[in-house]
Amino acid sequence: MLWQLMERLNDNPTAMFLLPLAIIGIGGAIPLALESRRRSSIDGALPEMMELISAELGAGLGLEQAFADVAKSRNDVAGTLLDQALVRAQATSFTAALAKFALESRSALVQRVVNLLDAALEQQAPLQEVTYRMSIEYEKLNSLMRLKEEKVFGQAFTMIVLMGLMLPCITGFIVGIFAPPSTGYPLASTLEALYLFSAAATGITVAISGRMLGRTGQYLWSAPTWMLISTLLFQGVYIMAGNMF
Amino acid sequence: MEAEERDLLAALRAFDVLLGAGVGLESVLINIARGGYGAISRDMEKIMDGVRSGKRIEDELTKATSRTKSTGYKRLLTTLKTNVTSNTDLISDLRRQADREEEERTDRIMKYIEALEGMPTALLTVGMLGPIVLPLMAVAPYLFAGASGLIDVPGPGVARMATFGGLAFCVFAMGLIGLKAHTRDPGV
Repeated sequence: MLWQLMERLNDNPTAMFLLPLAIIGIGGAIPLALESRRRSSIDGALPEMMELISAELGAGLGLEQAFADVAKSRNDVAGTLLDQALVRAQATSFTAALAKFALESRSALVQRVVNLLDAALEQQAPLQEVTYRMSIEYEKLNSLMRLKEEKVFGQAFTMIVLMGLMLPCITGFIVGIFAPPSTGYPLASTLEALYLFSAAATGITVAISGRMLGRTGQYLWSAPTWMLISTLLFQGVYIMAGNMF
Repeated sequence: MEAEERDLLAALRAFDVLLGAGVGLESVLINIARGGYGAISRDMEKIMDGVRSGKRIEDELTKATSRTKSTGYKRLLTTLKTNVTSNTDLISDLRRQADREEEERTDRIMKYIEALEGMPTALLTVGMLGPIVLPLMAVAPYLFAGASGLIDVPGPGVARMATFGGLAFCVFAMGLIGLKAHTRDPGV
């Protein structure tokens, strides 16, 4: 059975080419997906953290104490990172701890917030007002990003399902019915072109979906897997339809 | 969309926060020029380089206004210049501008979502027509082999080339359709 499958795979050079790429691609896509999830968790926590800091400052606590309280009150990635940075700050300074937190968060939003807080600290500005305004601003930004993601994700997912799964099944079935191997038409090179087309169309769709969601890198890494699935589906359905009718 | 518009709202809010905190305009410009705001940071760096070399800040702001094509960023630079020359209420002006930018950004995102709505259908149309119609062309020389005297049937080589060319064109057309996802991105 396995040898038969390998034999079939031999007829599809596109799949043979994509197989190692897909394995490598999965290895590249997983860390990027985890990083994306981690960063969105930190960005999502930012407005709440700012609001809490503002409330603590309003209660008369110092900025350092407010940050320490926020770090202790949260058990998510942002809280853990902030806690680690503050522990390290005991040997350096509070500004260094903030810089460390910004750097390790790898989030542009956090880096901007820390930069602004740093400048406000230097000027001894009223930080309660600053942090409160930041919390409102980032809450608005996060809701807008969530709205975009929700709306666009549906379209991106539909596109991948249509082009990567449905299209190869339909076209493989139609080609299989009208030009099955039993007819004897010398279509080997045309079939190879169709295998390649299925993969290329899926690859382009995955890249477009990634661009729509702002995660081009992550989706490009996963593209060979989708391309492989697509070309194998086309081949499988073509052979099945050809043998049935 | 101009490069400056991507980070304009964040830069406006930074101006608001820092000016509201009592930081001077030049210090705010230096802070923004340090980085984090993309093209705006680079432009502010040019402005501060000019100021450091002895030029007047209002002249550098005017020069930057003529350099950019972004209307929002032009508006910010004009507001800053007016404040330097006429001492206006900069914070409330910038807050108004930031609110306006925020509305525009929301509109841009909504338009982007609308623009993408027809994309799955367009991709599926091109992606489906190609592999259904074009293989028929490849099979045509064999299907009409007996009728070569009645109708003009292309040879297998020509038909194969036409099929491959057509499939490549379909992939290219799908790429062109998808380009909209990149060119219309509001960059949030």
